[in-house]
Amino acid sequence: MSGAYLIAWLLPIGAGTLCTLALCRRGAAGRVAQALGYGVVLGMLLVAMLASWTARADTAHAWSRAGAWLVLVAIVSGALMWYRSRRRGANAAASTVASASGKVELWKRGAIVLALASLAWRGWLMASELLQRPTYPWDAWVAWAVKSKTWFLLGHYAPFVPIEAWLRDGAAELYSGPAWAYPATLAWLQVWFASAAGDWIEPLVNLPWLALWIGLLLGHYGQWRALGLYRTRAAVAVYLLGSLPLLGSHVALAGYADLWVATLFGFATLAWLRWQEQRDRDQLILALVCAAAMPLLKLEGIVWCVGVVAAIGFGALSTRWRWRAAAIVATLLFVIVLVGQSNMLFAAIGWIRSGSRAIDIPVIGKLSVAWHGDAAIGVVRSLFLQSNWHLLWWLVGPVIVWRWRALRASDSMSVCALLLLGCFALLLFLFVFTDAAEWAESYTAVNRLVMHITPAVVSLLALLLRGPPLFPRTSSPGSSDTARSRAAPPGPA
Amino acid sequence: MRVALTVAALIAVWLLVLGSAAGIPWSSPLFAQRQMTLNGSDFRPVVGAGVEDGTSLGVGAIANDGNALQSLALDGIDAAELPLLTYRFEDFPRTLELVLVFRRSDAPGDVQTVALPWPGDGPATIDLRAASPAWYGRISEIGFAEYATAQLAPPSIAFRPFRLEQARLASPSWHVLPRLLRCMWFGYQPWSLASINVVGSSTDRNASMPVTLVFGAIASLLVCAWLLRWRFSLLVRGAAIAVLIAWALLDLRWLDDLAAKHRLTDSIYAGKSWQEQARLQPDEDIAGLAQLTRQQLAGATPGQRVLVASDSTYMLLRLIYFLLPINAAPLETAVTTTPLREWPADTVIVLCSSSSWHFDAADSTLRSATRSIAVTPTFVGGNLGVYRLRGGSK
Repeated sequence: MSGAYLIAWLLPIGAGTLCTLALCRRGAAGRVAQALGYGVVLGMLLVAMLASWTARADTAHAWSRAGAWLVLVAIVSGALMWYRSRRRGANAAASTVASASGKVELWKRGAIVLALASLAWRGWLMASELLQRPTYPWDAWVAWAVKSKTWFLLGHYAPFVPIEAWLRDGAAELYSGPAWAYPATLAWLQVWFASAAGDWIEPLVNLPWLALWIGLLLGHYGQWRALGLYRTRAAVAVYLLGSLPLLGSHVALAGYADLWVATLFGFATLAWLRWQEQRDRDQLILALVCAAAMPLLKLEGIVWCVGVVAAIGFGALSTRWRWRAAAIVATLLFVIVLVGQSNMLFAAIGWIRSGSRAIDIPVIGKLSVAWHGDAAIGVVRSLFLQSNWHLLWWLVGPVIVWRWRALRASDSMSVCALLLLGCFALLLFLFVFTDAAEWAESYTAVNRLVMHITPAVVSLLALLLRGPPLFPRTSSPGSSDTARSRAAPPGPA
Repeated sequence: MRVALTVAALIAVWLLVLGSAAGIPWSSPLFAQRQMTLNGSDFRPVVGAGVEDGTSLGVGAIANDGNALQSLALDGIDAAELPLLTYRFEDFPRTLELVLVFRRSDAPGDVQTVALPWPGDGPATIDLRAASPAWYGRISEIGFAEYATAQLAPPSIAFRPFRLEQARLASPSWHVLPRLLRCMWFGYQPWSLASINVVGSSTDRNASMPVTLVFGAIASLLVCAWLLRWRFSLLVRGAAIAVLIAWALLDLRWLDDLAAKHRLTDSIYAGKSWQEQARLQPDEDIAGLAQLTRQQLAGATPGQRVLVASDSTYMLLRLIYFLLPINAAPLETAVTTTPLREWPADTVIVLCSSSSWHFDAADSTLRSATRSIAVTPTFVGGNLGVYRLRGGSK
């Protein structure tokens, strides 16, 4: 591995982390973990964007062309962080929510060490797998790596167009393929790493997926801590998230965009929750940045982006206006069903036309609306019977029932649950009531699309378990969680 | 006394739950009442080469198509009586996949197949009733087939000699329960193209481990709550601990599977340079065809359009990927979307293992069921044909 490749790693991590630190309150619990987690992911996306702007004419040197800009971003972010930390001064420490100190019982400490060791072990396995195998899964080489490999080996950018345009304009240097319309952000990220490696070396261009997984876990841990989850519970939640098998598959068999979308959706949701609960405007900026980045990764990202933005807007309304908004949306839906025909314009996708029997979505095509029983069975098998999610979906219902009061008592958690319920209902509608049922029956997309909201679902469950000890014990009043809950009751307003 | 009763009840609960998951009838005896032992030396090599080695069969070579098959004719045994298959191999390479093949007396022309978990070290056991709906009636032939793990192991390096030690068919019994469960839930299955969509196999007919653990845990909690008179808060605490234990068990299984999958990758690619890794493509036949095509297209400009056809979608798309940055796209999409007259004059057509298109030398035309394209052949050899477009297509 060359020095250039090493620098190509350090630059986005450094710049991304400094950018995030500039937006994180000093003294907030989990600040470093959050900054590193968000920093790795946002740094990678920043690199991709800079490469797409600066290296179109010379992709072989993408890293050196975009690197200079990245250094500039890092310097500006560092300066901004220094300036803001001086301005905020000592009162920032008051924002700390979860106590970082306190004695953790020995058995809990042992269990957490074991859990983290198992995460480290699988991280090593996935890294080793990534560094040895050529690009493997279907869409990785049919769709996602085609543009990056073409541009890097060609030495410059060339547009991808529909095959008709490709054939009709034979004189122009155009390319085509089944995934010509897919967003190119990940392609530019791969160009960046290929240019730093000096050759099209598939294990090296796929390695960012491991960094993404680490960033996902760190970012979530940091945000959970900042939102009031005790260190022990946050560590357990990190283990639960990091041990989900399908997430591991997406790292070991790198090349798909789904884990990126899942990470950004999780990040956006958490940053928005912090804004809701702590009125930290910087977190709102982070949430909007994460939401806006999702359509740049995958076309479906626009749906989640709209969902997060709608939740942010809904959460910002007063109770009275929420009811009005809900009434307006319900009326609109009723009219759509009654009229049986409507057109909605979505940026980047185009017009979505819905009728009483069909929905026409650009890129996907026309989907007829009907009940698909086999697909419903497929969804149930995917979530509960297969090994994709361990026991995650078995836990959702019981935890919500058990912590119903906590859910109802927290406005932000209620809106978050509504957002996830809406997203899940949308997926269910897609898989059970449209032609996309085929993807559920064949298990080709159902789990990958569910994965987009999974980190956010883990966040919801984890945050429902914050607060005082879940199992109060009169016999051990000195236990750490009990002591801490008395000293500093979490569950911020 | 109460604790002892609870322990006994918990053992009974888990025997019931695990026995049901493994498909062992409650009335089964502890040891098999009927069994048929087949030594490796009883099998004869049908495809590939093998020699008798004591009671085992040493398989020393595969056929040119990369497969090996060892088979044994049976005297019409009753499938329902002997559903449990235990098999033992020695030095079985991780790069090979193992398949059970069998014929029934009622359909001697049909060969049935069942993918078997990698045998590893020691015997492995599966329930053929659960593994294949075709395991019924009378079985007239049984055998084992081996081939390079699809899309993972390059066939040229996949084979190493191994020995078939023994196979045994037996009636259901309780003493095989641990081995059956180990094979069912912990049996190694290699990565597949579907692994990115679903963990494990979507066609898996075995009992689900998450469901088994959930039902076992619920039953255990109810037993404890009833016999030990747990209060609600204690029940919730017990449920939380049960969830964590079940999660850890499922995770151990996943980690074990991930490590086993990685050992295959390691056995192929470890210690190799980036260039060697890139050359060791699992689909080395397609990579070879891409290399040959590239030679034929030497001198093509990046703008020159290349249209590719193949009977296999996998081969078609893989070839296009290997050819990059040569400017290629699927021929079928091109003919259905754009009239031939609008194609660039210097378009090249590549046929790769394609039977839907054939070259008619009489009028130098490529023909499919509905189309014909006037071309000039530039290379035709084996499964590959390279043609340049001529005027006058329709």
